[in-house]
This record gives sequence, C-alpha cells and structure tokens, in this order.
Amino acid sequence: MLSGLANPRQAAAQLMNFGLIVSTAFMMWKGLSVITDSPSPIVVVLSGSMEPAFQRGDLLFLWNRNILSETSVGEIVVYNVKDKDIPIVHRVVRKFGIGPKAKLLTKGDNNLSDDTELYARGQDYLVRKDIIGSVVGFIPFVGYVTIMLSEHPWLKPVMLGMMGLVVVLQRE
Amino acid sequence: MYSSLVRIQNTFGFFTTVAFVVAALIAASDFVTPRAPVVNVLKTTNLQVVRGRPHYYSSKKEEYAIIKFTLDADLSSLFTWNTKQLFVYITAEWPSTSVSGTTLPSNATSNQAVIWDTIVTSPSADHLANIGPIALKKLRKSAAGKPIDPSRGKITLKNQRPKYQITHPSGKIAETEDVTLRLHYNVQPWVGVLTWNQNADYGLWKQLSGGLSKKFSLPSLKKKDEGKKAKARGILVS
Repeated sequence: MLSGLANPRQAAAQLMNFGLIVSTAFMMWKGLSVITDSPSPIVVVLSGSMEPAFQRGDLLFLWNRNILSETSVGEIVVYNVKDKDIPIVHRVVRKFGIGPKAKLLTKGDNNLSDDTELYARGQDYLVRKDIIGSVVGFIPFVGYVTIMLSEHPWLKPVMLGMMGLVVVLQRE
Repeated sequence: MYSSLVRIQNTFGFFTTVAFVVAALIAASDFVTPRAPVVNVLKTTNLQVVRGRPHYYSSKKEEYAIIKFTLDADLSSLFTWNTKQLFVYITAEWPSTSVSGTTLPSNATSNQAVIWDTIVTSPSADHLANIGPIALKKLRKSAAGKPIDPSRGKITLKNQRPKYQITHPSGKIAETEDVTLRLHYNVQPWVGVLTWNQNADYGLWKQLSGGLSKKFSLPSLKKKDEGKKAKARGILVS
C-alpha cells in the first residue's frame, strides 16, 4: 500500500495525472457552458412539478442561445428566482412583447396554478435574462445520484472514501 | 490485471458504452419516422371579458378573457415507440400596435397566452401520469395492452371551457383586435430530443396542417345592468 509513497517520483506522476484528469473534466464542463451560453448546461430535475414528462432524477440538457427564434410560449425553460440559487424547470405559458424585455410567465405542467407565487416579491413576470436555458433533450434517471448525495450528505465522504480505498488498493 | 475488480470495471464500462449507443440509436430513430399531424377544426364558440380577480390569489382586479373553443385534431402520427407523452396546448395570440413607444409591423404576434393544455401519455408512460388508481386503470384498459396507441392522438372537444383565463400586463384586455387561436404540440420522447410543431416540412416530418383559427376580436366588458343577455359574441374578421 505504501509502495506509491516510497517512490516520490511515482507519487508525483500520479498526482499530476490526477490533476490533469480533474482539470480536463472541469474544462469540458466550462467549454460546454460557453457553447450553450448557459451557466449550468446540464441540470438534474429536483421536483415533480413537470411530471409525467420529467421525473425526479432526470438529467436535462440546456441550450441558451436564441439563434433561430426567440424563447416562445411552450418551451420548457430553467430559471433561477431572483437572489435564490434553486433552478426551476417549468414551461413558458405566457409571453407579452418581443425582445429581451418581453414578459414571460411560467407554470409547471403538474401544478394547478402558474408561478406568480414563486417569483420574487413584486415581480409578476420573468424576463429573458432570468432564464438560464431551454431544455432540448434529456436522459431519464441518470441524475438520481446527485439527488441522493444532496439529500443524504453523509453519502459523500462515504463514496469518496470507497473510491480512495479502491485506488489505493489497486496499486498492489 | 485479471483481478475481479478489473473485470467488474470492464463490464461496467462496456455496459455504459452499449447503453449510450442504444440510446443514441433510439433517439435517431425519431428522425426517420414520418409525422403528419392534422387539425380539422379550431374555432371559438364563446367569448367573454370580465373584470375581477382572475385567480383566487390575485391581489388586484383586472380584465380577463374566457375563450371557449371547439377542436378536432388528429395527432396520432406523433406517437411512436419512443414517445413518452404529447403535450398539446392552444394559445391565443394577438399583436400589439405599439411596444414601448416603437410601432411594430402589423403581423408581429407579440402577445401569446396559453388558454388550454392537456397531457396525452403513451401507454408505456401511463404509470407516470398523476391520476388516481381508478382513472389509471381506465386509462390502461383503453390501450388494451397495445404498447403504443396512436388513437390517443385524436382529440375532439366541443365548446370546451378554457383552463386558463388570460390577462394582459396592462390590466386591460377588452376589445383587443386580431386575436387568433393556434394549436401547438410538444412531443416528449423516452430518450432524445424534445420537439415542437415546426414551421416548415423537415424531411419526413410534415408541418401541422390547419391549427390556426380565424381572427376574432375580444368583446367589451360585460355590463352588469344588461343582465344575462350580455353574452358578447366574437366578431370574425376575414
């Protein structure tokens, strides 16, 4: 188990390898962010407000560029309520005006009423820059790991511990 | 090199690769299935504009419009083995003559509001629909064991009351001109790309034929002293 540490050169090479992998993954994520023009191009569905279309744990791919046409009624968008960090995935049901100042109203398919109550106080409509992307595709169920990690925080160190153990034991 | 851990890793890696390729093939199969959705009838039957609170939680009184309509559509070609559900919705659209000071060309529909929507699930997704156990049983029976059921795509509604009363941010919606109803759909696949109704024919996918109602104008506010006879009718503008 200590053979890696006994040889500093090998340890340094391993560390560099690890660093390269982490930075490659990070750059791929940031590159995707730049291409889609969205701060968070892949999101996990957290609530059941868009059932039966999206279940909790589905992974969604977002696109935030309006190349061919503006964001219009019927699109499924992800937005953050002002000053809150929770992304909400709902459908645009009303749009008044055109361009970046157009007023948009959203509603979850599974909700009876629209999102007026979710918006910040005094805010009745969203504008285009509140939206961080429209959903263009999805993979079912893959994101459930993220939900489990955030709802059972003790899982994180357990998983990291297991992965670390596997890496260390492999060096035999 | 032949430890069981390495074997498990290889198997898992192979599994994810295969799953990914299969998912990509399923998603691609959507593009080679033809689609030909048709709307036979879409027209308004009753129009009303009322001043009041559109929802129970509204804090102020505004003018809101109730647009009842008749619909006859055949969207069965949109159901494939990869379809999870179909989201069908009808929007009322009308242009604004001026938006923040600048005048727009008259064909710009700069106001859109959904008046009615419905979710049509494929039999493979019935277990996900949020309905009670009896309704679920009825839904499953209606498909009679078929894995896909395109007949669910045939929608016929007569004098349907809208789900949503629409307002305008300015608070006034009475006597708005050049309003039209338009049908849209959103196909939600099991795996792949979400698609909406398109504006042109792309390959095997045909544009929605029909789906736009004639132009009408919203009536003026219902006057209380005229009593029940104040049901205003829509005016058709050809």
